[in-house]
Amino acid sequence: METQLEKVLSDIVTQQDTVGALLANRQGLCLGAKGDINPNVSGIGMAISDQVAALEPKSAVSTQPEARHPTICLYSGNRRCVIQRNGEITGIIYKQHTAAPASD
Amino acid sequence: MSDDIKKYFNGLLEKVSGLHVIQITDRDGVPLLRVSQEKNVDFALMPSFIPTFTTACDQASKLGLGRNKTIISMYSNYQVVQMNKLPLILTFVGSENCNTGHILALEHQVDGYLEDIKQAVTE
Amino acid sequence: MDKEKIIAPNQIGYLIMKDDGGVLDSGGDLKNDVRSANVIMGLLNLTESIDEDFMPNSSCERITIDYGQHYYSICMSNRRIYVVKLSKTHTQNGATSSSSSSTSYNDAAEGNNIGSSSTVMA
Repeated sequence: METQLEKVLSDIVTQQDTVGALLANRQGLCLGAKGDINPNVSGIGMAISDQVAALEPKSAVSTQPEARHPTICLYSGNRRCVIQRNGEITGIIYKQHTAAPASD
Repeated sequence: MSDDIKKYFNGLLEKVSGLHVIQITDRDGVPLLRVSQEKNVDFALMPSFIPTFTTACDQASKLGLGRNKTIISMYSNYQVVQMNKLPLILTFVGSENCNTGHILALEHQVDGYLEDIKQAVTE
Repeated sequence: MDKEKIIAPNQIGYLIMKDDGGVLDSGGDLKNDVRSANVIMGLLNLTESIDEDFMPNSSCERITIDYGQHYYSICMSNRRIYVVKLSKTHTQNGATSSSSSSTSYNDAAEGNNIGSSSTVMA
């Protein structure tokens, strides 16, 4: 039943710099999590995407799907938390920038 | 101490949109702390809620899956999340579309504050 | 217009708030926008309680909200909250002229990639 979901999560977690990923439903409950991420974060992540939805009134938003579902990114040092809502599903991804061979 | 705790729980109530009431009782349903948004919830129902939860919780613990921690009840207009933190019972009442995951995530945040109340109950 | 600050070359609006949410200065699209200020304060309150292990309490120093054509960048510094609403359509000029806006642009673009991968799954 959730093999498709697991596959998507595995795909996300294997991306570069990604530490963990999870998906939350409309109730803020965790549908699935992969990698180093606390499933309890689903609720707060969902609350953040709800809060941000109030930032731009619906009328001002153009027809682009991107515009309706902004990508929220929290930065802390070399860590990032990316949150995006798509319809009923909210995705939360933890990223950690490992020391790159280039500058920084 | 009570003022501090009450302020904290009022803050939680504001943080979770759609949450109407947070109530802390002992296992018999004696209220120790209650914070609420002014409206909506029929408080008359509250006293019978707690002993029912205690019974349901005890029964659920017999399912062979270990001790029951939390019961989430969904209704057409409300949702009730109850947590077993003996000797305390934590009850959250919210609207049906309230963020359940967020309420559950509060569990770990409130632990520190509950310790203080626990102390008062056991004394 | 003459009194408005230019924080970034491609800005559409800005808000400067105290850490209690009081608006100190505003301009452009966000001029006197108390509603947006309140939404952003609510957002900051929520980010405080995100995963302690991954992001320790209030260590989050920057937030971006990317809408495709434009994005918001929220920075916390010196007990002030700086919110800038930026347009992406002029970023090519901005990215070359200012190093700070070029980092914002990169991160925002990266956010988009992740976003599109989550679109696939839904």
